[in-house]
Amino acid sequence: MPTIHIPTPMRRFSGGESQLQLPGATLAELIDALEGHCPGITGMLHDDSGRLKRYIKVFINSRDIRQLDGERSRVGADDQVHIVPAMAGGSV
Amino acid sequence: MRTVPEFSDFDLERYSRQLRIEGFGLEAQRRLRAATVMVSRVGGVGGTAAMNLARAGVGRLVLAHGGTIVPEFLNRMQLAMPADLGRPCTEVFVEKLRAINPDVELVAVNEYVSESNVADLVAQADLVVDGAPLFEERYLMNREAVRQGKPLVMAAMYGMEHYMTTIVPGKTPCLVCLYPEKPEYWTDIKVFPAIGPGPVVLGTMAAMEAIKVLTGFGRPLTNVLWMFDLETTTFQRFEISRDPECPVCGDVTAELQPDLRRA
Repeated sequence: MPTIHIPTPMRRFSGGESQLQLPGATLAELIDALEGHCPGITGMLHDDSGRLKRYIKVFINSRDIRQLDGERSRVGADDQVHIVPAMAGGSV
Repeated sequence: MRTVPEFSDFDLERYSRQLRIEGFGLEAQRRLRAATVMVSRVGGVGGTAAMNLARAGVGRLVLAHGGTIVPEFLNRMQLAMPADLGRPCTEVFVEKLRAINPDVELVAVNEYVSESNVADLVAQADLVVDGAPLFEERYLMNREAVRQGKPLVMAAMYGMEHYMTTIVPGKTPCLVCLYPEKPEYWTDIKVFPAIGPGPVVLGTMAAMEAIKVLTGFGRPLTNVLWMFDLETTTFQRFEISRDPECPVCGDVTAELQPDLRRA
């Protein structure tokens, strides 16, 4: 099963887990499985129209899904999926 | 880049270890001495970057940071000590950086980046290191760096997660290409947790990025978002690309300074 990496702001939905192995042949299926495992988490991923929020990037291995096929992108059993929201922390 | 004096015997001894690095050498050291780096916020990330740049022999640092030293700075800011509590931040940072390397020219601005100062701050610099904790400051700095065609090392963190990329206007994605909007939960400067090793690693890497871009040494993190998670001790390199519709840099094909064209 592919591995999906959960960023810090979303780990309150995953019981603190930073990565999960979930079923799915496409990113959309994987996200559905993620929602099943972590109810409410897709509220942080998608806007009201169901599109990925503009402060979130998703990579399959090293590739931006916008350079692939968006949420229809295929994912393989050994793939690593990373959700990377914008951060600004640094120097207070 | 400015014209700079030749190196003294002391300078050559001081920098002798880095002069021995294959591909670095005296020419890179000269370029570094001729360079000005502007650091937006000089705390955990920016302060560490400034400290490493001073040690490495950058010519001038322009430091923008407001406020005074408070206790919660002490877990991560390398330039702040308990005896500094209550003192103006820039006064403390200048004192520490001058002690590290008195040859570095220091320009301190005791305020944060804003609409009223950003153009002047960027105009003084050959490169910007951005470690600001607010998206409003980061978007402002990104826009101005793109407008002036200045490279910007963008280093940011949240808890144990950190990322960095080097923005070269016209050649790489800018902050708005990557993230057109800020997260709605990022509401104030205290929103993100931090422990020393994270910002210190990130700030150190940001300094190395600045050195690479300014000297032509090595391969900077252009068109790559480099990320590390110190909870799991994992590192990733993600491929990133420009957004041709980006409202900030979509139409930028700016001529770059000749010594930055390798980026």
